[in-house]
Amino acid sequence: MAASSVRSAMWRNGKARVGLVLAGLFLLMAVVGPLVAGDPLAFVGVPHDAPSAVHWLGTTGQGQDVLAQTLVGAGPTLLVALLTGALTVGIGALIGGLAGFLGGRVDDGLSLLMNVFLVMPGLPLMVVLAAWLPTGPVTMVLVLSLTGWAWHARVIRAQSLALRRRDFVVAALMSGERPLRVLVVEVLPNMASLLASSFVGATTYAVGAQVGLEFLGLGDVGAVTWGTNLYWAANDSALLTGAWWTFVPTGLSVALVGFGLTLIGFGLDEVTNPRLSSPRAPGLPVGQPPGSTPVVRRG
Amino acid sequence: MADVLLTVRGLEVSYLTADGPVRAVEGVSFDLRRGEVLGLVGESGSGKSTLVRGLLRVLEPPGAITGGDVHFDGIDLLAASEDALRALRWRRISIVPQAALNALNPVLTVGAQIVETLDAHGETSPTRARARAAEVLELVGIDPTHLRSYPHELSGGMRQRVALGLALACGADLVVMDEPTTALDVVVEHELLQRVAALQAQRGFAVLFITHDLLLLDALADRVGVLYSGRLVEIGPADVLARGGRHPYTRGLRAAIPPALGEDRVPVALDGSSPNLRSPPSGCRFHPRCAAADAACRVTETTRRELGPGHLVASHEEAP
Amino acid sequence: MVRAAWWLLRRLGFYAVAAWAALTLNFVLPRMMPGDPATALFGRFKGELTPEAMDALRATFGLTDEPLWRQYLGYLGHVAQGDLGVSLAYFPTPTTEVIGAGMGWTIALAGVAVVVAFVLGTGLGAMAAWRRGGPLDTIGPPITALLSSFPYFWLAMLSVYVLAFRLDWFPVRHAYGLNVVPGWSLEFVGSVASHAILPALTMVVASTGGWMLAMRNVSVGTLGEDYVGYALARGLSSRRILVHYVARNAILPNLTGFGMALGFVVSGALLTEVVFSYPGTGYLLLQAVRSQDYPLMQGLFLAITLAVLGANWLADVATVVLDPRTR
Repeated sequence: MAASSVRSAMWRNGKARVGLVLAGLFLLMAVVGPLVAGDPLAFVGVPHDAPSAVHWLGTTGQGQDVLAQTLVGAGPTLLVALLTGALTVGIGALIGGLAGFLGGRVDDGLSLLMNVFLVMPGLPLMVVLAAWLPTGPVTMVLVLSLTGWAWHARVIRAQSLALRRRDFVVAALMSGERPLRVLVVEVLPNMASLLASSFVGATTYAVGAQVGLEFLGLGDVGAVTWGTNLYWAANDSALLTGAWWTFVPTGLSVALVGFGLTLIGFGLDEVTNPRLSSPRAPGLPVGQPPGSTPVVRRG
Repeated sequence: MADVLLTVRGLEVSYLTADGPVRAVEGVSFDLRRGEVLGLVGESGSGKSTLVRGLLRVLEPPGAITGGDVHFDGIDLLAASEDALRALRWRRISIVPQAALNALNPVLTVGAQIVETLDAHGETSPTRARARAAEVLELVGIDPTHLRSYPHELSGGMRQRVALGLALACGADLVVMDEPTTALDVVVEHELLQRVAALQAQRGFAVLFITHDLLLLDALADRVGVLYSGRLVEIGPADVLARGGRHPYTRGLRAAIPPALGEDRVPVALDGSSPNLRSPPSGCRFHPRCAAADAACRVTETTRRELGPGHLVASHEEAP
Repeated sequence: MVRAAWWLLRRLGFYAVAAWAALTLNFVLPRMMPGDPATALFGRFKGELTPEAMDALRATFGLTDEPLWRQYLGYLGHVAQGDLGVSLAYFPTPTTEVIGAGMGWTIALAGVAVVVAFVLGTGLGAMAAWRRGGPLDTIGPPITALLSSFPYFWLAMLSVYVLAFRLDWFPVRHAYGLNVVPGWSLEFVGSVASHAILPALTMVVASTGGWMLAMRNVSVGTLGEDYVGYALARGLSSRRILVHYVARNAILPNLTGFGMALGFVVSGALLTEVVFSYPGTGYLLLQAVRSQDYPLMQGLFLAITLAVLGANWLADVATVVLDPRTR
């Protein structure tokens, strides 16, 4: 499917449209937020002040403005998530593509690597990696990508295994082109929709995993991100003082971004693989257990 | 007629797809008497499987019955409730599937699947059910130790025999055989058909036998119907059709059969394939492949004519 | 039988490779840091450690002056003897002892939550597919998508705030009441149960939907199989077909998926423990991170990985038991 027709089909797909609007709103918030919010680290009031006309979302345990922190936190969080999504799919495409495309021993070895990474529990792995590296957004992107690539590599491997036997790939190889070039120029562009949905999936995962790691204190706790917002909320005993406003706005933002991305992913899958949505013809029963063939007389 | 078991009148079966209905079976009418063996022959895409699955109401979505009437022993199958149909199934009407490997549950033993079938039809004692399951296997010449086997552990021929035994387990009056030998090699196929014929003669159940192999029906069937593109183009006594049949398509099928040993004949393959049901040809649906087709065949539909006792044909050819 | 045993053995071999990869990662990481790996590992505790303790730790982690491969063998030898060093934050308790205590709580809490969520989710998924397009099938997937968008630990925070802090239905934190003496008393068991309900509940709520969606999708395919249509034609009851034909077959691919999803679920469970200050491995992991207790961190990584690998192998065994074609 051509890129432009995918774009218009995405907009016509209900799920994708809601997802695009949600994600778009938060991207807007990430860009505009820092311009309208004051200094998110400034002490502007008494600690744990409930939402009021002055501080719409109240203050943190340190007396900082929660709204400002939520707005400013969007930028770095989403930037790290998007970069992670891109790097994750890049690693996945390279390793999965090579495995499926070259086959044989290379495939055996790379598949083993994928399966080992798949079976390892993500968070503890991220923790040991993050603990050794200097804190900061670069570390975060690296750690999240290193622990998240395997699933995408597996899916991409299956797809390139199928594409390898197609005529245009065989022809390119027969004409003496270098395999790596054929992989990058001929094979990968032919799974654009898979790569796109992998990117959306990896970005969704990166939002959640990033926030989880920072919540543990493995991010730069001096920076303002959604994850560190939650870290400080927990650290300042928000739960034991009843200061719900210190963790609810950030949590909802995380969830809505994730939900929006999930919907975009659903929509992308439905648009590029129409069988998934399978609209039922009128006359057939819906919501019924399998049973006898219906009798639908015309007229 | 009191001895008529199954009556089909003007049956229409369609696939209700999102792009509109596709009529796979249209205007099919026939009767099946008690104890009679009726063969239905047609190439792939002729709608033969759709037809029988539809009339028994076991066709999966998006299949639906879109017209006609089906009566089984006085019961209106198209108006029957889900419970009435369930009571009818297997006790009165059973099916031998095309590929028993796919039709049997891979994670249950053969014995468990026979026992659960008996259990669903009133056999309350587990001990008796197990004994009866052993009898079912013995009936089709399989050692009862295979009750503990899983479907994948049996050979293709054994699996089809299990399915045959299962179809007879509850004493059905009508056994529908949906190409039960397609997956088998010639020797095993022959063995299974002999078994079917012997059991039918012994027990007297009626058989609706679907196949793409016209030759196979010569020995087995009392009557034969020929399906083309969802329509019954000819139906008549097996011995009459064995002599060649009237419809150009029936004759084409016959001509395509490789000659038997000593027979002086060159097989003539029937060119082309079943038409696309989304946009079937106008007039007689067979005209694009018919050697005798003329301009009228392209425009007018065929009508059914009776040529002899129980012998009906739908073609434009004049009777000789 | 032989085929199944061979396959299970091969899987065991694969898990051994995965475990070895985790071990090697632990060995390699400190040595990739600039400067002295010993300083990186326990530098923060230098002043608090006796020279003898320091030497013992060096030996455990293979931090000797020998060539690298001897260091590696020495390290593997210590691990093989179950020596993962001493925890620095809980000095001088051996790491294994600290982890063992935490692991018991985690396996009890997360184990129960994972099993409950898996059983509940697969059941709901099969039912959604059974009545495809019905109410459960219509509202299930979007609710699942929304719920799984919330971080586990945030749902935990919310439930602590609403159900424990505001409504006071459940204890806010810890695994049992502070004034209860641990032991096999009714009081203690009751206290443990009441403390476990809320964290377990949040894990179940957060993860059930994922299992449901996976089971639903496989079941939709299973419903199209010939054997389901043939079972209907045989007049079997709906209940029998749903349980023994659809669910029984559709669960097999999900058992394979169980392994891959488990790592994700366990990660969520660890963070949930942090919110509840539940004394399991997740809480210990937080302690280790905060106090830069690298031996404990490495030990936890290893122990949690081994636990997940073990659960994976159990899923493999279950596959062999449930699918006769593998035997």
